[in-house]
Amino acid sequence: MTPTDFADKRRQWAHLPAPQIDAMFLMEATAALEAAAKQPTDRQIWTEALRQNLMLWLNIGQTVGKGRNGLPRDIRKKLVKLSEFVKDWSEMAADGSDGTLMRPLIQINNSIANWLFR
Amino acid sequence: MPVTLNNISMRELYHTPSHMEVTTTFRYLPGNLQFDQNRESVRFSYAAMANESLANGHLEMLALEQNRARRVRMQSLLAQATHAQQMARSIGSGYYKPSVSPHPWAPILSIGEEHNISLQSMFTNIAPNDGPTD
Repeated sequence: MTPTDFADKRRQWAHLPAPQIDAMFLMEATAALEAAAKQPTDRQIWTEALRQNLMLWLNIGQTVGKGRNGLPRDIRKKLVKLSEFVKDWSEMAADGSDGTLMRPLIQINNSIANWLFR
Repeated sequence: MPVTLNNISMRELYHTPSHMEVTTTFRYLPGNLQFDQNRESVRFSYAAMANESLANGHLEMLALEQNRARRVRMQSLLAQATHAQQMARSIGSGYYKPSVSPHPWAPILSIGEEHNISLQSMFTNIAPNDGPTD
């Protein structure tokens, strides 16, 4: 996803409450991970799903790690740690071809997206 | 010429008596070694090596060692995965509800140009796993 794509999506979801817009990005990434898990032999889909999800999580780590975010400190700390885990896991999973490798990433995204909808 | 595998000397890597043979072989073939440490892997060119079966044996040993390292890394990540999933759940089940945040919501996502570039470079060096498995 390019910065332009990102901005387009934000406009597309502009009617939603702000936290839910963030959730929508995570849900899109989750859908891509689930699709890749179902066809692990398709390297392009596999790598692109990991790339899309990693892009979101690296960005979450950078954004909440700056300290300007209004979230409580403990939550910011956890999100940064999750970002680091997603990076490590994605690097390992990029080399694999077992659909179950996507499960931790999917579960994490679902948990955070559900939280953003609360 | 010191022979290293990701900063591990061949002597440290091979604890069997045969490691002496390995170091000796490499010592006399310094021009045939090619290292690609950026990918944390090592490639050897045995073009000038007379004993091809010996070369295959060395490659097999290296592959086993790399697979062992991969397994250890995998086990570590699996343990981290359990913890990470619990952590994600704990955020979701915690006291803080984004919809009733006392502050204007600051997006946790703000993707920019420079970030996209750094991400692209991340996957550049990752190749499909086409090596042998044990």
